[in-house]
Parts: sequence; structure tokens; C-alpha cells
Amino acid sequence: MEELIKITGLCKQYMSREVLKDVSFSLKKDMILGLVGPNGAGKTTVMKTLGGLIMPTSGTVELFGESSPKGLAHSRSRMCFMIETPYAKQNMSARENLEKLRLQKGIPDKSRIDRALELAGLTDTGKKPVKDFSLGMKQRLGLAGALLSQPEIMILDEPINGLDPEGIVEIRELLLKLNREEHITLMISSHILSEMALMCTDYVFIRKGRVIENISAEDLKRRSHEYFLIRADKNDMVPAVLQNKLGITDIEVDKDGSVRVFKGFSDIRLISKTLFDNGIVPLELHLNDADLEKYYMDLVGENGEEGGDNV
Amino acid sequence: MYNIIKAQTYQTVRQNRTYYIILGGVGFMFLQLLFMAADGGVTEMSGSYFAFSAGGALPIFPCFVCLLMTVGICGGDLGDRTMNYEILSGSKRTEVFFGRVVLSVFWSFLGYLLMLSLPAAAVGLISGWGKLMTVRGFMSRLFLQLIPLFRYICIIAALTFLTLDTMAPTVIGFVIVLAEAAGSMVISEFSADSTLLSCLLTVYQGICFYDISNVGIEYIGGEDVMVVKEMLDKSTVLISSAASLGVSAAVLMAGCLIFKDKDLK
Repeated sequence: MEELIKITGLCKQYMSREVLKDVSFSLKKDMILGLVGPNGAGKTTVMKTLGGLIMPTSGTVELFGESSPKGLAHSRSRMCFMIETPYAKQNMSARENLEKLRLQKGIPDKSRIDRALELAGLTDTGKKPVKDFSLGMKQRLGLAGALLSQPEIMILDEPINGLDPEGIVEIRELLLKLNREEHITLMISSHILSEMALMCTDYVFIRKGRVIENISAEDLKRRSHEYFLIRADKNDMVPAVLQNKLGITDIEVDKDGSVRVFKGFSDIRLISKTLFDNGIVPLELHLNDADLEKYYMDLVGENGEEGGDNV
Repeated sequence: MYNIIKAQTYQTVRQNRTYYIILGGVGFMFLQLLFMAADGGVTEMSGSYFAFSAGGALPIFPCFVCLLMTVGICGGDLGDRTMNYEILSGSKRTEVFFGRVVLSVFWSFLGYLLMLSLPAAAVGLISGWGKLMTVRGFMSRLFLQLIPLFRYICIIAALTFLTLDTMAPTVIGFVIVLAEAAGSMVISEFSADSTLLSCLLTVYQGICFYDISNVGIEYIGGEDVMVVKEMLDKSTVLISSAASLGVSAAVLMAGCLIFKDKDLK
């Protein structure tokens, strides 16, 4: 697959504080790359460096194979960014905001505004100023602005932050549609891991300015712990019964008392029957597969000995 | 850069702030002239008298209009990160910098020209233009003052880009004008040969253009009348222009070079 973005050995230092440490990864065509990490991990700094807002202390950024300042600026016109807050002038309407962006980007075709408004579902907002928009509408306006120039790559920092469940679904569906139908390659950062799991094809886990894992969604699924989740009327008896009667040792008890049975045991009927035969009534028994959240927590746990999150 | 100017123009004409600054400046000038008239200090009710009085007595206030306009255009949209999105969409930093400087110069000049010409024109329409200063003399002074104002706008624009703030350059710009006004008084008092120093002060240059040394007595229409020389002293014009443009170029180059490598929030 064609490499659209390549970051090599990126470092950023403010005085004695290292914000990015030797960050390297690439974004290939048609990917949906999830940038995952806790607050202050350096996700936004990576995106701002790609956008030319922050100058790296060392390392290189290549956009569409270009790494010279002039080439980078030109390449950015083929991309769109939504970093921290979506772009919007509060006193202007959605259409006026897009018209301003159209002039700024030098797009001659005015009909793109209508298409972008339609794609973002903002055609009926009329002259309503953006200050009266809901958060979801503002996010969608940000995306409409991003779509105006028909970008090849979209870099989105927390695009579903603060949205209600309906808004989250709308934005997710829009992003998936853009990726599948318009072939726009996406790089997304978000704290909502369950949403990332529904969209991303690849992940870069970042912590304290360092990339700790770069993995495809498929590999992550393979490496994630599959487990049976068991809730029963007598939760406290479940681990002992499973150990003694079925010889299962890879067991974890959650805080609420529910039991997770990991690896190597796939006969859900046998578990159910054994529990029942021993006077335990299973109330819930199901297979949990690839869990990004659990994988992430394990990863952060493994790399979390160094101290606080904020970089 | 052309795209940045077009987009910023679209934004500026839709902002109330632009009109408040211009109307505030013009209104303030009208009020000052009304106070002068009410004070009994007016010897001749004519457009040329008001033009000369306004230009000479009040060179500080046009600077404030330029200050507010420039800070507004260069830094007024830092809050919604317009500048960030200009860079993110592929504009070079030099284009962002100079695009905003060009627009600041345009709107500041517009504010200044309206501020000084509208009150004089209004009095001229009511009471006639008078003989103190010809319209050509007034226009040449009006437009010559644009050169030192250009330097002041460049300094404020560079400060706004360096601090990426609106409060700090506003305060510094305010202090510069007040310090220049005080410096002008000192220069006038001691009348030492401080040509170069005076040419570096926007406010003092404004005063120079309307200085009493430019005023003489002429016999017009059977009577002796006080008139302002139509043409200004060539050396005054040349030195002030060269000093202003030199400082402007240096300030813009320094501002742009530093902004090129500055991290944006």
C-alpha cells in the first residue's frame, strides 16, 4: 500500500521537557489509523507537527513523499485537519463559514459548499449563526469544512468528543462512508476506545510521547485475550468449581464478582453444565472477543511504571 | 497570499468590530472639534481650519485607530484558531503573515483617512473650505502621514505575531504612542537638531506635517491671512519617508522570520 504520511524519529522538546520521543510510524492509503493514548501522551502534538503548527526539534515528516517546507505546505492542501476545536466563526452561518474557507483554500467551484453541507447534514441551518449550533452540529461543520477541498487524508483530533450517542453514530457512519466510498484515508485520535474499535484498521498506541505499539486491527484481534464472561448467582464459587472440575486455571475475577475465563477453553455448554451440576445458576455466560479497551489497559499497564501520564 | 487576503476581507467586513473602530474614530474626532469650538479657541469656522487643527493637534488618536484595527486583524481571531487553520490548509507562514499585514494596512488607512477627512469635509460643506490651507495642501499632508503610520502598523503587526496575543501588543502599542507624544513634546521644547530621532516617531512626524513653521502670512483678497504652505519641505518628506520605510522593512522581516519558526497553540 502507498505510504501517504511517514514520520521518522520525531522529537519535540520544550526547554528540558520532552513531549515527543523518537516517534515513527506511517499512514498508508485507505487506512483508518487510530492514535490511542492517555491525556498528555502527545497525540495532538503529533497531529500539530503534521499540520505545521509545531516545529519538531528533530526527526522528519514526509507528506505524499515531500519533506521540504514548500513541499509540506503544498501537501497540506491535499489534506484536511480538525485539531482540538473545529474551525468556525461564531457570528457567521454554516454557509458563510464554508464560503470563507473556500476563499482561503482557493477553491473556484462554489457548488462544493452545497455538497459539503449535504454530506455533513447541515443543509437546513439557513442563516443561523454557529454560536447557536449544538456541539454535534459544530463538529459536523468542521467536517464539512474539511470536505470542501476533497482531501485525500483527514487528520481528526477527538472528532466525537462531547457528542451525544446519536451524534457519535452519525459521525462514525460519515467517516466510514468517506473512507469506503470517497477513499479518504483517516487518522483519528479519540478517548472513546469502543468507537475506535468500530472504525480503525490500524492503531498506534502512544504514551509519554513514545510509540509503544503499532498494530493492525487484525493483529490486535488475534493478540487480544478472548474470554468467557460468567455471572452467576454464586459468583464466589465459580473459580473454584472451574478449577477443580474442569482444570481451568487462567481465571480472573472482576470487581463486581463476575469471572473471566481466558484462553484454551471454548466449550461454553460444558462450563454451563458443570456450574449447574454444582448448584450454581449461570445468569450470564458469553464469549467476549477482541477488546481494544482491555488490550489498551494491559499495554498501558505494562508501560506505566514510569510515572504520571501528563507530558 | 491572495487567498488569505480574500478570506480575511470576507471575515473583516462581517465583523462589527471593524465598523465600531472606524465609527468610534470619526465620532471621536467630531467630538474633539466640537469641544474646540465650544471652548472658544476657534478663530475661523472653515473646513481648512478644522483640517489643520485636527491634523496638528490630534496625531495621537489616528494611531489608536491603527492600533486597534491592526491588533484586531492580526490577532483578533486567535481564539477560534483561524490562523492555525490557514496554515493547516496549506498556506505558507509568510503568506499568513503578509496577508494580514496588507489587510491591517488597508483597514487602518481607511479608518485614518475617514477620521481626519470626514469632520473637515463636513465643516467645509457647512461653512466653506476657507483660506488657511488648500485642499491640495491638506491632501498631501493627509497622505504623507500614511508613511509614518505604516511603520507604526508594521510594528504592532509584528508584535501581535510574536506574542500571539491581543492584550500585550495593545498595551505596548498604547505605551509607544504615549511615549512618542511625550518625546515629541521634549523635542519641540528643546528644538535640538534631532531630525533622525523625530523621523522615527510617528506622532512627532504627524506634528511636523502641521507645524507652525509651515504657516505664513499671505495677502489674499485684499487682506492678510494666515496660510499653510502648500508644499512641505522636501527634506522633511524624504527623511521621514526613508526612516519610516526602513524601519517598517526591518520590523516586518524580523517579525516574519521569528513567526516562521514559532509554535502555534
